[in-house]
Amino acid sequence: MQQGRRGFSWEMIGDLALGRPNLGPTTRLEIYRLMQFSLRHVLEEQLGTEMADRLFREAGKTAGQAFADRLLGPLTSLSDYVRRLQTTFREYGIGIVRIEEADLSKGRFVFTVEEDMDCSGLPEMDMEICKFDEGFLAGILERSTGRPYRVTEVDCWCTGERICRFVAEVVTEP
Amino acid sequence: MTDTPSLDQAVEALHRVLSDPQASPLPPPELRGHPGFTTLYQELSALRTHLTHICHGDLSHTIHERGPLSSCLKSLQARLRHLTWQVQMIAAGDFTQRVEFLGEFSTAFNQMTEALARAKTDLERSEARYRLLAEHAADVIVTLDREGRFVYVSPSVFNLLGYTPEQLTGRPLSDITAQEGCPRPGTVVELTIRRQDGSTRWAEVSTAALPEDPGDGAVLVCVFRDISERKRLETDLKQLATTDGLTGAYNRRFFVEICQQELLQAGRRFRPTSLLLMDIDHFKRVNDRFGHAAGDQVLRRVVETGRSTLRSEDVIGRIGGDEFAVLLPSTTLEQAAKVAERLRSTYEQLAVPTRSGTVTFTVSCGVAEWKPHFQTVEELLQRADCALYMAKNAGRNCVRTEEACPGRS
Repeated sequence: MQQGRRGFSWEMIGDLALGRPNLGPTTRLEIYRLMQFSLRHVLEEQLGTEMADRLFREAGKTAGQAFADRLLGPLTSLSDYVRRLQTTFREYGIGIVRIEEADLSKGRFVFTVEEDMDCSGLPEMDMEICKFDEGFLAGILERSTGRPYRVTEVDCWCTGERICRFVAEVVTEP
Repeated sequence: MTDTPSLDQAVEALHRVLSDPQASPLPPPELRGHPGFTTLYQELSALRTHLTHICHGDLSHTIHERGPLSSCLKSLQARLRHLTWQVQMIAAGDFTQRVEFLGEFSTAFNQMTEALARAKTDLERSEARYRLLAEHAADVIVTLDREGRFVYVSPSVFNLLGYTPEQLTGRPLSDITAQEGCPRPGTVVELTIRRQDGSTRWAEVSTAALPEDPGDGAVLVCVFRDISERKRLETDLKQLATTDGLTGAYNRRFFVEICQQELLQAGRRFRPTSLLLMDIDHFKRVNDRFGHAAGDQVLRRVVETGRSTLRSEDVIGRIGGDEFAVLLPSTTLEQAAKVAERLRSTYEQLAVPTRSGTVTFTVSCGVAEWKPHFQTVEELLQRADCALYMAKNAGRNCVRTEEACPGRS
């Protein structure tokens, strides 16, 4: 079964109620991380770290777009949108989102994520690890605002912080 | 051995970083030879700088250092930045923000925003309620600024004036009334207002001061009530009370009242004033021969003809069945006699067509002049009545002055 990036749909997730009547829709976070880091390990070995990071970022972007389409919707009121973002991230156990800056007209946001699903609690690695999160937030913003965003993680649990901080800026160059 | 820095020196240097506000960002020169110590010293010094910035409320400082202490500072900075953003959102009117930080502070903060949200909702409901009242009231409700310009105008203004609220907003009150500036608070006045089509209406205007400037510059609220119909009724009632319904001439009571006012002024200004009493000769015969309807027509024509013959300042009243009085301001007895003669002659030549045939008639006139020693209008009327009696005795269809009365030369 070949699935292109644009071919993603929520149907691929399947009918969880039907498939997991006893275990339900959740799993342990270490299993999620087991999958992610084993995948990262293989990708880094096969393609190198840079390409692995890029693939994670791209996958995150696809996921972010689908997430925004299904769970967030368009950004019409900033405060309402932020509230939805915070609520949804918390509800799905992704992390605790806070806003440090939000300037829609300039296309600049600064988010922090505490208790991040991908990295909080990891050992220090001296590098920002949340490439999937970067793409995920970029995909969310792109879908919700209609403008492309580049998201960079500037602080990460893996670099010794206790929060992950992401700077999102609209991409203006062609 | 004396050149080798001791552990005591290192401890003293680190202690200064923690305790001395003036401590240098670099370790003492004698300790810089140890690279590990220099890095440790600089990191501690940098942390102190970051803490100072946060202490002073400056959250913009970038913390480059890593490690548990720096990450704690970053976490604190992130939470405070988010709190700042939340407060900015509340300042912009978003009262849904909730804080989950700093325990009692967050409880109090959330209670405050909830209270603000409730107050805002209550205010909006209240404003909506009053706006609904204003917009559906038959009376026109306006607010004015200090210069008397319209700030708010309720939609019912269109029915009263023919303007839309937008056409009046910003314009001065004097555009629709003779009122200059602002009406005084606490007053109720009746005034005429100009409609867009140029016609006028009467309005009762109640004015009150607004408790405080609501932010749009308004200082007064006025309620305009259309009282045109009431004014018309008042005018009709006044006319009914003062005039004779058949002829339109003033009735006796009001005629006497006008005479009193006129004679008071005439006395002050030493101005001659005369009075003329006029009686239709053998009016009973007119009624008997042509009927009362014809008689009424004759009475109406007496007044109409009199008005067209007399000056505008002359006042005509019907003081009896077929008896009329004319007050002639600024007129001597001699001039009044001439006026009476002109009237008599005019009536003599008048033919009044009625259903029962054409009626001709004559009148007799008695004339008297006001004298300063007269006490009442009745005295003047008696003098004129005496002269009228003399005219009747002289065969009717003639004019006599008070000089013809007995006791006069």
